[in-house]
Amino acid sequence: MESERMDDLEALRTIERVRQRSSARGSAYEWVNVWFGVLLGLYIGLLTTLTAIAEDPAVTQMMIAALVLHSAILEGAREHSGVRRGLRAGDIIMLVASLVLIVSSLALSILVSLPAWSGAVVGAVGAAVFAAAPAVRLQRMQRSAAASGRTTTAEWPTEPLSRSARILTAAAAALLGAIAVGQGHPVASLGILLLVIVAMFVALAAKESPWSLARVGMEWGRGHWAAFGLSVLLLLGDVALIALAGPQTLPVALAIGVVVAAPVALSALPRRAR
Amino acid sequence: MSHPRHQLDEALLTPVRLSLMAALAEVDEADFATLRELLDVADSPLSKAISHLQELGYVRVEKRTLGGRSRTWVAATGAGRSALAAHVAALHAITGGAAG
Repeated sequence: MESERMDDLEALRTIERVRQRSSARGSAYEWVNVWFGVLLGLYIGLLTTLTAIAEDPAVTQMMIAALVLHSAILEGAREHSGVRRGLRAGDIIMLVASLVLIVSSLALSILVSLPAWSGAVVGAVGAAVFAAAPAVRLQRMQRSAAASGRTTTAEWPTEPLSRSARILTAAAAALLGAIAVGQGHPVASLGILLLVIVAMFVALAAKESPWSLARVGMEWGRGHWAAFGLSVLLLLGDVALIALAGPQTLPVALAIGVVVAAPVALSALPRRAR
Repeated sequence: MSHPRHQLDEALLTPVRLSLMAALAEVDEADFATLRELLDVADSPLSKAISHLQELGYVRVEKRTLGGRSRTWVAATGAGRSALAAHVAALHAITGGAAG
């Protein structure tokens, strides 16, 4: 079989077919990157708005913990896709534009008194800029998939998690809940932020172990990512609520913490393989 | 001027090796399981093809462990990409672009 010689025309058709199939790989990972871009845009928009209108925009700092958690899980997601692609010229331009946007919007919101609606503009532009590169790659992949007669949605089914991934997913849910409870309470916020930093160091050191956050990203399917996205959105809403209405009482904060953690916690529950 | 057939790369005349190089041309790296799925081949012929192309310096192989799982990653080298490009150009010259 291996020594079999190919007809020239058949060889060209094979190359085209395999190229299309190969370039269609990794769409699920790009979907996660699109979501991360939108999340970053929302975060920067919220930060700009709260700096313009709230007395204490410091509550938004806690969201950094959620973003760091997301980044740690994302590494495993890239591994899950089975292919790696380096940055191309367009990606680098987008990255530089994103950094310029972040720095200038933060500097402006601190130095100049911006109107409240400026946050919405910054957020929308930010989300568009951050999500643009993965969205373009995704579109390219979908075209390739269509050309090869396949769909990109077949990637990343929601399969049962291994024991370590289930426990780490539950821990991630608890962390998101704790961030929600700690919002607006300086001591609790600081404690949770320190906990996240320590957890990130441990996760980095244990990168090769099944107990690293990368393992979570490797195993999460579409359902888990959707649950994580919902939890982070609820967390963003909570941040805005606290910044506008002030700190919550402990029972209210605990109830919101449970609501924020619930989607990810439910996705960690064992289920039967299909 | 020699016939374009002489420009064909001997290493890329078999379906598995040719498909492997074509798959790697679109990405920086791909893991073994993904390549097996993309090429729709069994482990053994894929391993043989990778070893052969590695000896020629057309691909680079690296084993990495993440999250408790060890994976073999394969990447096309510069020489491998050039060889595929030259091979494809020769195929086009022979067929007169009939496959396009």
